[in-house]
Formats: sequence, C-alpha cells, structure tokens
Amino acid sequence: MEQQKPTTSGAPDRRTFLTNTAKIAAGAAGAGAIVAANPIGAMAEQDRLRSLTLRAKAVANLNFILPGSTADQVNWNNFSKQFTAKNPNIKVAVQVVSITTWSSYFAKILTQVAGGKAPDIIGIATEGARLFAAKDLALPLDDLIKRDEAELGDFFSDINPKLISPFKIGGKTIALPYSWNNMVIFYNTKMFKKLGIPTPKANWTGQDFISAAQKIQASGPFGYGLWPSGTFGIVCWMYAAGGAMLDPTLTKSTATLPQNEVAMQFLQDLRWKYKVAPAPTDAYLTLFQAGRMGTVSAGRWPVAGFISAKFSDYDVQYLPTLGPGRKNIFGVGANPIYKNAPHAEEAWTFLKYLATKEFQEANTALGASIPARRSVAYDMHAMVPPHNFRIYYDSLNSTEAIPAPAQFNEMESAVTAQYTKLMANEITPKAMLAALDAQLKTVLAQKV
Amino acid sequence: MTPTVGGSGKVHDNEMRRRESLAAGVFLLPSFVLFAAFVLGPIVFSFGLTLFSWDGLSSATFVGLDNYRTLFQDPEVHTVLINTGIFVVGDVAAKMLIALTLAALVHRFLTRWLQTIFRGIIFFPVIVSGVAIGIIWQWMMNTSLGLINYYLVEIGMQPIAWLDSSAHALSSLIVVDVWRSVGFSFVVFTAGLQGISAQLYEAAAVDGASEWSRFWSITLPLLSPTTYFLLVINLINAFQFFDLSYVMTQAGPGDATRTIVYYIYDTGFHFFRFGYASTLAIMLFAILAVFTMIQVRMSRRWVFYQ
Repeated sequence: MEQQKPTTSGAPDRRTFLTNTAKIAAGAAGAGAIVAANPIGAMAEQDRLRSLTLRAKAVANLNFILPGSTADQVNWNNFSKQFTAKNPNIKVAVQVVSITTWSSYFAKILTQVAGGKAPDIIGIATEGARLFAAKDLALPLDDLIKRDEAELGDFFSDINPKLISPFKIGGKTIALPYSWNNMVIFYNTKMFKKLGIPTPKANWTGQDFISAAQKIQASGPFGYGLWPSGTFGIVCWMYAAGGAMLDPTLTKSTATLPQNEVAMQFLQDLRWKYKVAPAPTDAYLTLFQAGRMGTVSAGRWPVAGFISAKFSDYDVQYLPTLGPGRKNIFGVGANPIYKNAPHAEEAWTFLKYLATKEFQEANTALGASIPARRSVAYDMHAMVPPHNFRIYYDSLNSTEAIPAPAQFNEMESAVTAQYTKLMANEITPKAMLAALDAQLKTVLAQKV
Repeated sequence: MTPTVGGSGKVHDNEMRRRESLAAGVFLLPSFVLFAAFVLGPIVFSFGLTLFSWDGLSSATFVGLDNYRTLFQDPEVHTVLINTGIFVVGDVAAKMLIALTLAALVHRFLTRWLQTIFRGIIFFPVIVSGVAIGIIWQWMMNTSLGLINYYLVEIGMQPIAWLDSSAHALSSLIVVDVWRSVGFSFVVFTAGLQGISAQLYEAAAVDGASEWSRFWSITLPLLSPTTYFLLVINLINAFQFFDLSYVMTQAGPGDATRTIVYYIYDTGFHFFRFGYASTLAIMLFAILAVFTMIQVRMSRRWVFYQ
C-alpha cells in the first residue's frame, strides 16, 4: 500500500497541489457553464457553493474530556470518527482521563479551566453538577432543547425523568444524561455454584451476604472486596440501610442517623469481625476478575474491562437490604458544554449524537455504564452481560441520587478520611459518623 | 621620576568600573528576568493572594487578614504540622545516618571497582519517578495482598498494616522516602570522604589512633561542610514531602499522613481556596526560613572549613 509522504511546514506536496489545481479548474469550468446557461440561478448557486465552501473550510475542532480507561479512549476515538463522518465540519478530540475519585477529576478540570485551557465539552456526573453550576461553567441548554424539541422528543420520552433531575439546577438545564450507574453486587457465578451458595435474590439480607462471603473466604478467595475511596461506594450502603448522609436540600448533614451506623458497622464487620474482606484496595475489580474475590460492589462500569478480559463468570444483584426503607443509589453521567466554548452550536450537535439510540446501543454493547435510554437499557443485545441486567433500570423506581452539594470535593475528602479510619478499625461507626457530621457541618457552611 | 596617578587615572578607573558594572548587569539580566518571572513574581503574587478569597475562576475578593485568622483557628493546621514535624525528624535523621554509614563503609572497605557499582545501585532510586516508586511500594506494603506481609506470614509473624493504620502509615512513608532518596546524600558524603587527605589518617594511625577515633576526630569534623549542606537540603525536601503520600496513602488513614504540602495542594487545587492555600504556603515559607536561619547560626559552632 502506498503511503502518503509527510509534507513539511503544512505545505501541500506536488501531487496534492496538482490534484487540487485540476479540481479548481474543473469547478471553474463547470461554474462558467452554469453562468452561461442561467445567469440568475447560477448566482444563487454560486452563493450556496460559496457558503458551503466557507463552512467546509471552517471546521470546528472540539475538545471533549471525560473520565474512563485506556479501552474507553479507543472506543471514544471510534465514536468521534463516526460522528465526524456524519458531520464533516465538526471534529471532536476526545481525552479520556483515568480517575480514582470524582473529586480529583473535578480538581483537574477546574485547574484546566482556571489555566485558560477549558475543554468545549466536559464529561461530569451528578457529583459535579452543582459544583459546575455554582462556578457558572456550564452553558444553559434550555433554549437549544426547546429549539430542537422535535428532534429530541424521542430521547426525552425514552428516559426516566430522574436521570435529568441532577442537571436541572436553578431552573436551568446544564446537560443531557447519556449514561448512569447505580451500585449492585457483582458475584462470581462459578464460585457460587461450586460452593453451593444459592443465587442471591433481590431481597437478600445482610446476613445472607455475610454467609455467602464466609463460604467463599473459607474456600480460599476473599469473600468481598471493600470499596477503596470516594462517596458513591460508601453512601450506597447507608441507603441500603435506609439512611442518608445529607438531607434532600443538600444543606444539612444527616450523618448521625442510626441507619447509617448500621451500614458502617456492617462494612467494618466484614473486614474485622467476619474477616471476609481484605483492606480496601484499588485493585478490587482486578482481583474479582482474577477469581481472587467472590463479590464486589460496583455499577456497570467494570463490564467493559470484563468483556475485554473475556471474563464472564459473573452476574449482578442488588445490594443486600440492611434495614427498612432501603434505597438504591444512582449517579448520572452527562456532558455540559463549557459556557465560553467557541463552538457551542457544534458541541450541541455532538451532545445530540450522544443522545441517539444508535450511539447508546453501540456504547452499551462495549460494556459502558447503564444507558440513559430505557429502550436500550432493557435491550438484552446491548446489556448482556450481566444476565440480570434488568435490575439496573428497574432500580430507578427506588433510587435516590448521590448527595452532591456544590461543596462536593470537600465533602468527599471528609467522607474518605473518616471511612479510612473506620476501615483501619481505629474508630467506632458511631464516632466516625459523629466526626463526619461535624466536618460536614463545616463544609456545607462554606461558600463555593 | 615616579609616574603620578593623577585625576585622569581616577576617571579612567571609574570608567572601567562603570563599564564592568554595565557588562555584569547585561550578563545578569537574563537570569534576573527568569528569576523575577518564575521565582520572585510568584512569591510576591502568593503574598498578595493571602489577602484575597479566590477560587481561580471568578474574580478575587479582598478579605484583609481573614486567611491569617483562619490559619490560627484551623484544627487541621495543627494536625499537618505535627505530621510534618514527625516526618521531617524521622526522615532527615534516618537519611543522614544511613547515608553517612553507607558512604563510610563503602569508602573504607570496598575496592574502587566495587564502589562504583555500589554507588550506582544506591543512587538508582533517585532517578526513578516518585509515582512509580509509590505504586510499587504501595503494592508491596498492602496489608492483605502485599509481598512484605506474605513473607512475614511465611516466617510465622503477624501481617502488619503498613499503610492502613495510623500507627504505621507515616513511618512506612519515611521508610520508602529514605529508600528513594538516600542515594543522593550517600553520593555527596562519598564525594566529601574522597576529599579528605589520606595523609591525615596515616598520621593518626602512626600516633596510634583507633579506627573509631579517626572517624570521630578526622572524618566527621572534615565532613561537616558536607553534612551541613545535606542537612539544609534534606530538611527543605522533607518539609516539602508530598508525592509518596499522595500515591500511597492519600493522606490517610484519616489524616495520619497529611503533611503541610498535601494540605496546601488540597486547599488550592481540590477545594479551590487559593487565598488560604497561599497563606499556608507562606506559613511553610516562614517555617523553612526560620529553620534555615537557625541552621546557619548553629553551623558556626560545628562546621569546619579546611
């Protein structure tokens, strides 16, 4: 195959120059013939061509940043190419950033913005919605949504309204949801079968979970992989016990609720009383995939890695119920347009592409998070594995969003600090929650 | 007749001095511009920022001395100062002692060829990325899955929560930091040892001085300028410790490994309170300045220049 020679200083090479010259000459000859045949129509045609030429020259280069893995980067590069094939005037450079916690990712984004290098489109989640709104970074989309109502009607009728609620702040919509996550238990089906552990039911209890983890631990692998750090995987257990960390207005701490104590005691006991979990480690998903852990908790984000590792001996079930009034947690991924983005219209075109069924099906089939579209979330071709995928979208009936005030970064820092002490067995759940409560009061009083 | 140095000679001297000063100024200008842009400017800017509340995105608000008031009321400052103090003492003492011992042993007992190999081995971690070192040691020190505990259990000992307990986490970081950077002090001490004349040792040996007395009375005093230099450098580096804590413990468990620089980073780049972060940075600057001044003063008593 002949390779194109690189040119120096952006100048066209001889072959390109001759080809372009021939094209221009042919175009000029064609235009001349049109003018001669129909002068008025030809002028209109000329205007149209000129406009098209100008638009073709003015390619909008968008920068899109979002969290993810190396595999995600490859997938997004392909999506970007597919989008540009349909919209030749828009090119999207996607930068996928590996993250450990949302707060560290937001720190990176805001530093980029402060440094004058703001991306045009910024992948965030519920965790950052209020922070972005408070910093006035996101372009309100309401006018664009209204203008393209007909085009987006299908999308809005296909999503659960809960998914867009985190991005409606102060009467403004700052993003369209495209994927989301809750927290479920991933369990190794092969291990469960081999050890005679019954398939977990939707209403399994904390005791059922401990029994399963103990059997696994006794057989060699760890029973459960504790969440390493970050709010999502800690508050989900408070919800499973019927508790909550903040009140619905996100302005008051409810950390000392007795239900939260039940949840934190449960987590601490898994490690120190029942000894079915090792110290929290970032490698928990790798260990699960390698068969060295029987269960872990996560959303749907590990599925992409499991697919690429050809690991399929797993299924999912809701977190066990730890008390009455249990809820599921959810957090939504969305992509606000930076308010000063030079190509907002083109960025909006890209967001509409991410809302299409075609994109969401393809993205979901690669193992991405749960799609915002209901029809895709219940489509087994896109959602398997895991086999029990229906619990993902079903869970929306009893979900509550992750508490994410504008002071999210400070809040997450406090949560992680107290959680690590709890996991080190250096503090009782009650003392941990009291300390967290005091910290949250200070954090929530701060002006963002 | 002796030539007289008249008025014209003085004028000539003055002219020469003026030209030399001008030339010196021209040669120094690029350095000064860079210094002003990258050192002096940011320092002045940081001082200015301490009087403002600023998130890096919106316009700054003048708050007077509020950030300094917060500094004295912030309980977290107390915690990070204690952590930093423990780290500095442990890290600098261990680094200096180990580096000096290794340098003296290598210098005394190894052949030139073996010395070169040994120097390379000990210095190697200095050129490796701190993040890479942190990730490797984090895995080795993992309580449940780490290599170190695996062997401890193999020999019948209990696993140690190296990074997962407040009692051990800071000491574990000191161990890793010493392993990572002892090579620098070792190489500098080795250079210092090589600069001591062999005749002094020979003369002392002839006078019947023992190995230990020679080390105590010749090596240590003549190494004092090197020791002084390393003490200042290691102290400043220890006060600015951050990367390993960020990678290996994320300041935890709780706040057990949160140091001053970690807190400055969190406050500025995580919580976007650049005014207060600058105030913390100024506090660190003041601490370092005081410590360095004390060292300069003290050095007059114990540093001997040949």
